[in-house]
Amino acid sequence: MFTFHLRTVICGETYLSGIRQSLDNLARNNPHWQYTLQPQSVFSDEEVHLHIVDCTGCSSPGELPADTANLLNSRKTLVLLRAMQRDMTTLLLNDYACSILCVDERHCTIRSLVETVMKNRRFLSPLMKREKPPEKDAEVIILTRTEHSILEYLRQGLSGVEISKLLFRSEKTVSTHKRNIMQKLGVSDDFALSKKIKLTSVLYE
Amino acid sequence: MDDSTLIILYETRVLLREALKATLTANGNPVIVCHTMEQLAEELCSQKTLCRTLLVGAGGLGSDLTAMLRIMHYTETMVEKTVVYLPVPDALLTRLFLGARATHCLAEKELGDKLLPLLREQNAKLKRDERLSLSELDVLIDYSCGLQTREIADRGTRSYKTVFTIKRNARLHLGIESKSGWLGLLSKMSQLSSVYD
Repeated sequence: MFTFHLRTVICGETYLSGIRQSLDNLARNNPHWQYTLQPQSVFSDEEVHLHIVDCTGCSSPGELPADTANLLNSRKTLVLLRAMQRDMTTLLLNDYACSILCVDERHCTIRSLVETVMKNRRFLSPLMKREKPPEKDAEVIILTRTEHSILEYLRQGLSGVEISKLLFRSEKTVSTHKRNIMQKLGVSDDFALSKKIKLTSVLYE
Repeated sequence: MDDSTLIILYETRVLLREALKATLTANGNPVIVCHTMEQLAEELCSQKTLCRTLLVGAGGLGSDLTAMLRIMHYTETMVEKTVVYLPVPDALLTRLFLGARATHCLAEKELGDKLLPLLREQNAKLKRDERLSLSELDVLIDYSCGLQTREIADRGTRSYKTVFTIKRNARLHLGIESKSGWLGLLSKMSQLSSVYD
């Protein structure tokens, strides 16, 4: 009988319950396999096969306690992330060695996680494998300094009237700059502009 | 409401589906899990008893977001409660789902504490001026798909000005006062829809 030991360092109650149910299903279908799932604080002599760290509420590893952040350099640490945490995902993929499970997965199995970890490989759930660094996807558009500052205000959700007051320009001037920005980005309405400016990196002229 | 209320759970994500199924079953609630829109529609239309609660995970909807908004609107009288839980607390999305006739909206991190007490409490009726009409929901969905006003007018039998009026009424019902708020809502809908793209 093989026992797979997991320790939760930080884990939300709901996700923990989901992981436990999936492990129960796996144990039920594999009579010679069992698991233990305990908090990190519980002292034990056994080798820990997997640590679980819930980062669904974090925007960067710096928000974690130092000893938890150190665990991120190990493939035997499983980090939970949401699909929308693109920046955190890129950071963990490029700068750390931890395994990553996206809590928004529709088709991921705990079995593949356990098998990968036992082979001492890094586990990445399917949505995480599809994630690419933003630099590879982003188009580089060249804007003037004024266009760039107006774009930043638009990114924050300010209206043309508010921007004109901040920059001490007339509303028509701001409107012209905004039209030029939209032409350079290849969009024709405000909704398309709001989606585009999240994806595009810009350079000054 | 007693704990034998039937829960119809629409959750496509594995972890959350397993967790909620276990929690609700342990609480004594029979649970029907739906993985697809077709399955959900069949369950909602087949059961005749009103003692049912629809529980929807908004974060796992993906491209089915707009279909779910329409289903919630159409099936308002077929269930006693519709509870939607969002990936993170968000005022705009909360108002959207409540406007589409959900009775409650939670964040995922609140599920552990608030879901079971919420299932037991009496329904609070949403104020009439916070609910979206079918036309308002249709127009909002069309805008969220990237259509322009002219295109929305051409699709239906409405004039250009009528579409503007319907959009204005939708904004009033959702409590959105500024253009940036409207664009913010459309962006969030687009983000939710494109999680699995």
